[in-house]
Amino acid sequence: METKRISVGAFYNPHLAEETLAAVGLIDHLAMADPPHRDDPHFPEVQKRFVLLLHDYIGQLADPVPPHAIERARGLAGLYRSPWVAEHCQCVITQDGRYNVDYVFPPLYTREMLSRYIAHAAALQQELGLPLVVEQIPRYFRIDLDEMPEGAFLREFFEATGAGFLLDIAHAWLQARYQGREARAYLAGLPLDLATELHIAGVSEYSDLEGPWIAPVPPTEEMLDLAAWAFERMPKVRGVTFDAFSTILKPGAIPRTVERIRARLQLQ
Amino acid sequence: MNSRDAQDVILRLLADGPYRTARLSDGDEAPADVAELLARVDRAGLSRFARFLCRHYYRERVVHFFKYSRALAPLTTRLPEAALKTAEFTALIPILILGDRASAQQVLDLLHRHLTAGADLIRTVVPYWDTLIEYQSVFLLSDASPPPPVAKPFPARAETATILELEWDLPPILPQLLRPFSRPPMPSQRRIRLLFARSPHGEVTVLRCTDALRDLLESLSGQEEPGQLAARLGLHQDSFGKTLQKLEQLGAVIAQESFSASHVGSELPGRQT
Repeated sequence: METKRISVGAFYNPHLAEETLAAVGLIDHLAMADPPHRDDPHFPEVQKRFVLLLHDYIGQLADPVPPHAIERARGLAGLYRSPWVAEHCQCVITQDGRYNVDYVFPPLYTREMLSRYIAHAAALQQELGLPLVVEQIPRYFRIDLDEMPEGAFLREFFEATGAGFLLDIAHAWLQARYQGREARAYLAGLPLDLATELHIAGVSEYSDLEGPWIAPVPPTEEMLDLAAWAFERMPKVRGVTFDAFSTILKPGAIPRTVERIRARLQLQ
Repeated sequence: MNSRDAQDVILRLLADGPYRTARLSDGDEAPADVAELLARVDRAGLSRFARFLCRHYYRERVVHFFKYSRALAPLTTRLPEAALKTAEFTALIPILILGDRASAQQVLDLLHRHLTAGADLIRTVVPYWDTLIEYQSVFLLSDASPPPPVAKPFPARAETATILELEWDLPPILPQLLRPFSRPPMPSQRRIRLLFARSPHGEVTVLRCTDALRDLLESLSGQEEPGQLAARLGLHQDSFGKTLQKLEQLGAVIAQESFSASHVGSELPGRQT
């Protein structure tokens, strides 16, 4: 990824590989949520023509990342020649490994958790020899066990580790909504000045949740406006990514959304 | 309770339906620290999120492991994941534990009913429909977490290692099912045997299972020293050792804690004679 211009990209969705390859120039980079399938005929060309970002599950930073997971991440980062690797500010597996929600879920924002995240992120960065970016995760239901605001937790984490902030604007919108706060007021509490990457996507209604949640859909104009507001406050941002990875994505959705993002953020 | 342990309680509440149901029921006598935690959590919100997670968890797996049935949906009109939107699945949620093998079987039972009930017309177009469902079901079941291993003195077949006999030779046509087709590809109708193995890190591998491999796996009781077993089966010790090592990597064989492949054919701690 070039250092002086802001790269605009999307996630690599193998079922849309042909149109993605045709959009070189519009799409600068591709985030890789899964390793390429060995039968994927397009991956070699994708590898040649795009900057690839490792955005797979490496391991939860609440606990030490196990050696096999580090080895796997090292292999994928090498395959992609990824300029940085991404993880989520999440804790989804119990310490004994018995329970795994297999979905994003944030940690309790406590001093103890912060120490664990700092130690394990520092170790991971050292093992991989690459910068780490960490994406914030929304919490759907109220838990009164935090010792500090999410924004303070993230800022201390990034300042202590040197990792970059990956701001997901839909996650922020959802977190603000479920806290009953105005989205810009909520965003102002996050360390936008430390952001390296911006994710933009939409949300969908889920009957189980009786409300909106994360979804692989294009952003609304309201969401794009919010992204633009945050983007203006992110002096170190190097990449903007349409965050949608799903087989339900229809042809055309990725290039159209990347065009909208470019237009709204004035990244032509 | 420290905050990492508190996080674990919340994760268990989200992942373990029976535990959640018990803890959130009126009059539950939870340990004091869990009760204190629950007093600081939005219980209704937690329940909704757990329901969402459960449906999401199985949807991801059904979409992935039943991708061949999904590819046939334009012909069959049976989209596998539609079973997860039914009231029957919603009723199952309180008793499901994410990742649990018995829970996966319950979901598979529901899925099986959804895909096979009144499917005679489908079978005229896709005669291997039931075999395909069986194949995908074992894949999904193999993905579930294995039961805690029981310590055995010598290498044993993993409980998750499944040998499946099929009436149709499906593997060659599976990639064709994922490409556009006007008529569904037709496999050879001949009996085959497959081995499904789940690695310690959760990867599921499927491979053809020869008579020799089946006999070997069925002989791995965990009670017989490998050298002795190789001799009994008439196998060369070196190649037997390499096969065991490969099966261990795939997860089809559970080695005793002190056992490693390098010990095969040599003295083992606690060797039985």
